[in-house]
Amino acid sequence: MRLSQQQLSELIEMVAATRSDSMGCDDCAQLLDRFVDQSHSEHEPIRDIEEVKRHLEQCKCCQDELQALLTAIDASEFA
Amino acid sequence: MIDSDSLQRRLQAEGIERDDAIVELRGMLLRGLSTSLNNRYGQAFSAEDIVQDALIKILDSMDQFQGRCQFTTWAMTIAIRIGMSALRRKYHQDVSMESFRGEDGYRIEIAVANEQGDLGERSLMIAKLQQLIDTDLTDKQRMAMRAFLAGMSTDGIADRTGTNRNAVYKLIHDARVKLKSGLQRLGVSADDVQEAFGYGLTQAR
Repeated sequence: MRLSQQQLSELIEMVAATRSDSMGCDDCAQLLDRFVDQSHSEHEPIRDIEEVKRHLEQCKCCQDELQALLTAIDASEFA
Repeated sequence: MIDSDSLQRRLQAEGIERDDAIVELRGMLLRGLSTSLNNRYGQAFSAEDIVQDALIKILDSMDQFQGRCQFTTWAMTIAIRIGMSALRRKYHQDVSMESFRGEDGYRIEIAVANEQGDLGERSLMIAKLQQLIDTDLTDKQRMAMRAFLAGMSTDGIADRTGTNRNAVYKLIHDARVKLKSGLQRLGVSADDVQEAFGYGLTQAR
């Protein structure tokens, strides 16, 4: 498979942006609801917030789910 | 505006109070998923089916809600994960991993044309990156990277390889770490590569 310009750019971006990530998608999914609600002071802050952010920066699937979740919450509030 | 605490409490009640709460939760999920997932992955989408699956999962898991976020956020997170997984599965259902396998196996070939500027620097970097892809990555990593760069999601790759998304993410992430550390070992920082290739890449066909 010969990479297209776009794929090569994506590969280079991926390599350049790589950081250590001890969190997997399953752990991220477990914390995503709390991550979204972290601005609510009545809820316990997430101790691993930096880990969640780092994972989200590097995982497109989890990023997509976060965006979809935020959109869904916004939409659901208008009954 | 939905009162999250009230909704959670009424879902744990009995009789008509619970039935009304289920209708309210269903409406909330329907509004959220219809807006958020419609046309995602360019597909027609039936929110009704996803909401039904999500409702069952949420009601079966009520005892797992620990109150560390709003109940409505917790419930919507479950619904979105079910919806996104279903959409990705459908999107990738006709794609076989074999379609990423060429005569050269899962080799990933990168190239830059001669007519571009900074030829020496770019060619050297490409050669080093190619060397690392060929020597440091496992066949499984090249296969996953190849599918990912072709547009498959980690969910889709997991479905096609009989594993799970977490394992695919780790496989690709380990490959990224190998490439980044390999470049550093060869005296090239990943930022150097990114800077050199920010513009003027040759379209490889």
